[in-house]
Amino acid sequence: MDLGLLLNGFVEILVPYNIMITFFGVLMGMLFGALPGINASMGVALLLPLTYGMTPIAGLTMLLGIYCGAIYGGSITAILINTPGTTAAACTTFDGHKLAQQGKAGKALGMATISSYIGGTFSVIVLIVLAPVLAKVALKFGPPEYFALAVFGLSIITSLAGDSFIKAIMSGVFGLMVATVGMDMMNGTPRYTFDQIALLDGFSFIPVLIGLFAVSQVLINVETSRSLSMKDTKIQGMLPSLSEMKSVGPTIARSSVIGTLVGILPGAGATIASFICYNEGKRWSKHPEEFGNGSLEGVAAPEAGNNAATGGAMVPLLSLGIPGSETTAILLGAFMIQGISPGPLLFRDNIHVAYGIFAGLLLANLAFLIIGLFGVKLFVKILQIPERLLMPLIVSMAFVGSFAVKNSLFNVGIMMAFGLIGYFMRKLKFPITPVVLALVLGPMAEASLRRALILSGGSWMIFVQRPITFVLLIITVISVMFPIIREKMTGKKANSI
Amino acid sequence: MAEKIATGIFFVIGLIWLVMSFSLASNNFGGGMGLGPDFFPRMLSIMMIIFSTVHFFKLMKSPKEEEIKIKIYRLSAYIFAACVAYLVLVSLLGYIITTFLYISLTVYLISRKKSLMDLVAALVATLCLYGVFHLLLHVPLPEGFFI
Amino acid sequence: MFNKKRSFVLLLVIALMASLVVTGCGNTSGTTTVAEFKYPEKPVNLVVWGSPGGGSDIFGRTLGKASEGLLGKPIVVENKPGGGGATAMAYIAAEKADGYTTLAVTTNLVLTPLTKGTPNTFADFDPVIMVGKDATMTIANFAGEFQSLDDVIRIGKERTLKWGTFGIGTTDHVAAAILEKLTGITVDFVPFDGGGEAMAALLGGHIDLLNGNPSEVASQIEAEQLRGLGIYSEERLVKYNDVPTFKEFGYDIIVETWRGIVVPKGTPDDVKNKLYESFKAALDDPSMVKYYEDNDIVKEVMNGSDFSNFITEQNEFFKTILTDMGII
Repeated sequence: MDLGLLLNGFVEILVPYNIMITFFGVLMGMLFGALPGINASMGVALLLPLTYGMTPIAGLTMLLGIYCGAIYGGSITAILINTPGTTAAACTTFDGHKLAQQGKAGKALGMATISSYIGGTFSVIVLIVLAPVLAKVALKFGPPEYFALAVFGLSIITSLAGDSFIKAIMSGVFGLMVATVGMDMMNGTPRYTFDQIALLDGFSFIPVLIGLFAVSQVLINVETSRSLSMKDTKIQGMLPSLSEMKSVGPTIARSSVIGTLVGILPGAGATIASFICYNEGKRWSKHPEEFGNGSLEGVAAPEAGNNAATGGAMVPLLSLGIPGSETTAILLGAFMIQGISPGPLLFRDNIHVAYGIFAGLLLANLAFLIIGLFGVKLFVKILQIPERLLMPLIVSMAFVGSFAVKNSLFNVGIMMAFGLIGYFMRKLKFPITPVVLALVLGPMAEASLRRALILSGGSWMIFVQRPITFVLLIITVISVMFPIIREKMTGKKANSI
Repeated sequence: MAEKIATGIFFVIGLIWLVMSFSLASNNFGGGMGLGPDFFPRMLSIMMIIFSTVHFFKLMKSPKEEEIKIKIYRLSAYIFAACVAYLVLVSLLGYIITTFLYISLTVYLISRKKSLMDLVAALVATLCLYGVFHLLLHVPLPEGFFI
Repeated sequence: MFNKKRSFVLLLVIALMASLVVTGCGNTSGTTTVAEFKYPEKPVNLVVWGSPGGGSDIFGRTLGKASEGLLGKPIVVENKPGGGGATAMAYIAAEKADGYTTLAVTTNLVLTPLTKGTPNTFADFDPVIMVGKDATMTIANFAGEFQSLDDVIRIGKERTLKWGTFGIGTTDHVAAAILEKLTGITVDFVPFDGGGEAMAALLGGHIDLLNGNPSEVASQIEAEQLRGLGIYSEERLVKYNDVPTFKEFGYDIIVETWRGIVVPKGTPDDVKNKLYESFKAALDDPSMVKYYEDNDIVKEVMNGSDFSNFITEQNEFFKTILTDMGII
């Protein structure tokens, strides 16, 4: 890293036009991220054409602003209406919405904003300083390592268990089964598609996510007297206090590191990062019992984690030219359109652009911090919409979101179906988050497992022979067994299986 | 009772998955190396069958008072029906009309009051949705015969 | 109460009438006399089977923009992703053959129906023009044990090669499979889902080889992280002059990703001609020239009937190979 070049990057970025473009991108990103169903990759794709006429730094920073803004923006709706705007905000619903129900929406939103900022900025700094090193680390992950990571991620289901361990597992297995629908990626044969072309690619997880969360939420809400709309309640305390911020400090720090590391792996992104960070946050917290009941830590952990993943995701993109996710793949396309090849030559041929982007990323994170903090009062007003109008509005947005993924009404039907499933699951106290987690990690787990076995020639020993894989698997086993052992040891009656 | 039915449904799904997994190939094409497409679904379906059976027996043993009772409110059924109608009609009537009808209907269902203000709000909401999604964000919207 | 009900109904009626009026006003095209050739009278749809921002999407948009000049009307790109093109093909096959819906195709036009058994095949469409070809290249780690094709064949006979692919029955996969058959090397294919992970696996040394489009690895090759070993084309590429063709080695394997435009079956000839001329002219537009250069696409133009014959040939070619590979 070259400080001089970085300063130069700032000089380029801090002209009125570029600042405006960045803020515009961030704002649009927040909008995309907040709206359930529209996510970061769609946002980047939709506004990509706007960048054609711009200079590389301006255009790319705008798109990066959309990316960062969207990952942060998902928390807004997650907190206010219990529907994550992006999958990366799924964990934020647990404590974020509880806080909103306790009248502390402002605090929750503020915490989400600040944690996202710290996580995001931390990851950009790491990107600037350590990109080449981290790229090498990322390359060490092959199929066996990805399998171990996926298993570790799936083991988090046990901690999302709530009351019943076995119900969480059943939800998770159900999610994994849903994930097997589609064309098999190693054999090409359709699995469980019942001869529908629309299912050849499997269930897109946006319609499933929105159906399970938003639609079911609407159906449940019209029944209870407790409404999402807070028209008549007062909203207390706008932002978290200084002492509250201090107490979540360690959590944010931990999540920033974990999120960045998860982000550097192609194929693992903000969503996986947020789940892992939530889980670790709960594990190391001084008050784990508060998680799920309105703990500010429970908002800080996933939010810091998912934004930290954004900076991390830039490592393989910029250093290796490898896109790690759908969104970064589009960003790669944007680079190419600007005539810039990310990858090893970026620092040789276009180093000014690279540092301009670094500066731009730092600015983008700052932008959503500012907009977020000042906008808290405005966001909270959303809760003032009368219940009877808010409910159909949520469904309408969900409708558009599910449709827009593939221009397909079939997906809207999927959303409805999962809305019904989610409704019954919630009523019967089957947790729905394991379904989402399984849908995200299931394909990675299965594909990596099968690839790993091809690489090893059929030998299962490969999972023991490779150090990173082995370590991850051991950690998984320990983290699952630990609470069970602890309960048995303290003589507490364990939740039944 | 309801939970038993749900567990039973999970059991059946597991069974279906298991049966269908036998019609899948057991190796990858060309090379045959490694696990086929049948391994994972089969393993999952067996897990599902085991867990749902265990849970079912646990439910049988637990006292009646601990059972989760669910009641499906007529209102949510209507609301869901409205959503389905929305889906079915949008390719016929077009986005704006269908959305407007859907929102108005749902608002009425929830509030049980006929109000002109609500209708106006529904219209405004529909136009906002159209404006923000289609005009501002260029998100594709379903098309029907009408607008 | 009664008043409110009335107002409700009134509002509903007004809304319905307004929409009818608007829709009615929209369809003013009226009749076209058969004698005059008035195509195109409204914008033409170019459907791409990739998502926005992806390769085929950008290709469609660049080509579309460049073609508007001669065509006379705007070209609107519509995304219909899914099933490797299956969704788009199903959609187009059902559209009217009036020239207002076109589809940008690649080799998947024959590959997807063969590998996925979709109800639509290439025979449901009329080819209009082929515009170019992407080469397929075998790539290995720069500092690894594969420095040339000879190494690949030599080592492939000593041990099983781990060859990554971007899917099943894709052009890169087929190319490697043919090589395996012709040379007697043993290969275990490791399928990946798209680009990023496969590339990372190669760079990280988890797999031995990969077949890819040169433009995808241009910067890695230049940075000497990856090495191009062979090209599955008739001639060497201008940009990668030092990479031999497999033909030179004695293995006549030609597997390329071609690109073109098709329309629903039964579209009138004069409409197809107009489209052909417009797209052909577009290829000389600076934006297309640059796009081709940046993405290592070789310009090759075929008219409708030549393209049609070519597609039929390709279908037979891939059908034989895929059956041989055991995929179908």
